[in-house]
Amino acid sequence: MRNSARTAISLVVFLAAWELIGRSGIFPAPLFPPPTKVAAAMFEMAHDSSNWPEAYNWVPGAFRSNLALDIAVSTERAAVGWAVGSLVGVIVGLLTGRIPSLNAYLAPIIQIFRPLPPVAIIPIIIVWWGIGDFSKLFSIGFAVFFPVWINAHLGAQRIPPSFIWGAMSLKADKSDIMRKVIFPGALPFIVAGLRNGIAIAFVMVYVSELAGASAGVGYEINASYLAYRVDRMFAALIVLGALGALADLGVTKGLYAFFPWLKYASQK
Amino acid sequence: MGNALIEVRDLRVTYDHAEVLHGLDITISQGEFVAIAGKSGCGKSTFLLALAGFIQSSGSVKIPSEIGMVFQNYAVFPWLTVRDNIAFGVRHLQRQEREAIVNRYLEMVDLKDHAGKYPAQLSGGQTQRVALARAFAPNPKVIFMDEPFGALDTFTRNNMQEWLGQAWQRESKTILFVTHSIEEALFLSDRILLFGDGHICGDLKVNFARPRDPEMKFDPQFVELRKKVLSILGPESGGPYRQ
Repeated sequence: MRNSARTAISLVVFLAAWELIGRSGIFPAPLFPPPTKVAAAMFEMAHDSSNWPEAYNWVPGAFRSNLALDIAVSTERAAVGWAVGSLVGVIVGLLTGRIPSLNAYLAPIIQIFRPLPPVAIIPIIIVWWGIGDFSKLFSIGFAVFFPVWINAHLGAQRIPPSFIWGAMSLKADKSDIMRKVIFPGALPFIVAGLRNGIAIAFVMVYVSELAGASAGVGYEINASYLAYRVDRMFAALIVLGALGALADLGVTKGLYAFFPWLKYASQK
Repeated sequence: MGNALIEVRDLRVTYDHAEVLHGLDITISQGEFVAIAGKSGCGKSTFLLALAGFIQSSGSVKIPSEIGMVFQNYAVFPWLTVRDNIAFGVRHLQRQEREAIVNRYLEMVDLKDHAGKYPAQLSGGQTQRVALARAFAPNPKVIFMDEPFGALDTFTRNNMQEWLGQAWQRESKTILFVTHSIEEALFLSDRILLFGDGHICGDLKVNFARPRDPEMKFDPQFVELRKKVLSILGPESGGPYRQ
């Protein structure tokens, strides 16, 4: 049997079991809606454009909906926060991994912040910068930085010395070595950090949208909670999970297309 | 052999307060193929790294700046194709010149049909041929080889030895070749430096005619020289030598 068939069977069995339990009366229906009710709630969200901002009226009417707005806003926040946090994480990680004196300066400070739950800094960020988009992007970028940094740092440290010596014998200067040896050599580790960062970015999107947001999937979950609409909460959670999975798939496919050798990296 | 290309005087290397090379004095002529043999941990690889300037050492080393390196673990870049690995050392040249050099060495190592592949798609012997081509391509004056065939099976290793002997004759490079194998050292080199615990305990000329045939390994003279090398690398060099 093909793996795609196994995946389809697994999903069908899961949804059927959920539907049966949801309709069995074991749990109160409003608290545990079956998937058909959740799908209906998602349909409703996809056809309700009451929250649509005037600034986006250039979007054709057929595409205007609260759900589309939530998806667009959350995806943008996750993408920008992830990109900035990842960029800084990769650069700092490569440098601390290869320059012991810089590592001695920075690693203790980074290690103090790393174990903190990233959500714990949100109150401080709100006090400093308010509840606007910058605070949300900062908190996402801050959380993404650490897993990307530690992976880039370890990847840079694990480059075999013979790679560096080989490059030096071929007249590579420090810049060549960093760009053409250390970066690609650490890339398998960096990819692991970037993927970890995607999951964390979506966690932080949800958390950051709980306070002071007027759109976004996290905002939708919170608004549905206040309205006691568990079916809409489920629908929004499914959308958030699907966004994270699609982002991971897209980034992974993109990286493997851009660096085709990565698919062989674990084979030898 | 002619002019001195490498001159080493009182070369010392210390790791963690322990001296591992004890004041070596060596002169190597241009175009020589010098094998460096000895037991594990006797300082052979450290000697190459010190000569290349990759580790800290004291003493005087006169060596050309154009060197090539080949390692046992290949050290070809997994993220570059065969073609791009060979081109790495000539990346500063104009495209046409660079392509001509790369094509020449792709043909020399018989990997033209694999030019677009990544190292992970090659066998061990093919990967080591990429490493050799990459070291030869920038036309260095001297090439250091640190047990380049150590990870290969016997048949591939014999083929690579023949290939290297021919390539050395064609390219007229000075080669310093670290190996555990006395047979390999005798088959390839003009001269063998025998290392024992951080000092040179023997410096032998190998005067077999070239090109060399693998059958020469059964020649009585070859066997005699092998015995001589083994006797030098005996207990006096820090313990019995096993091969």
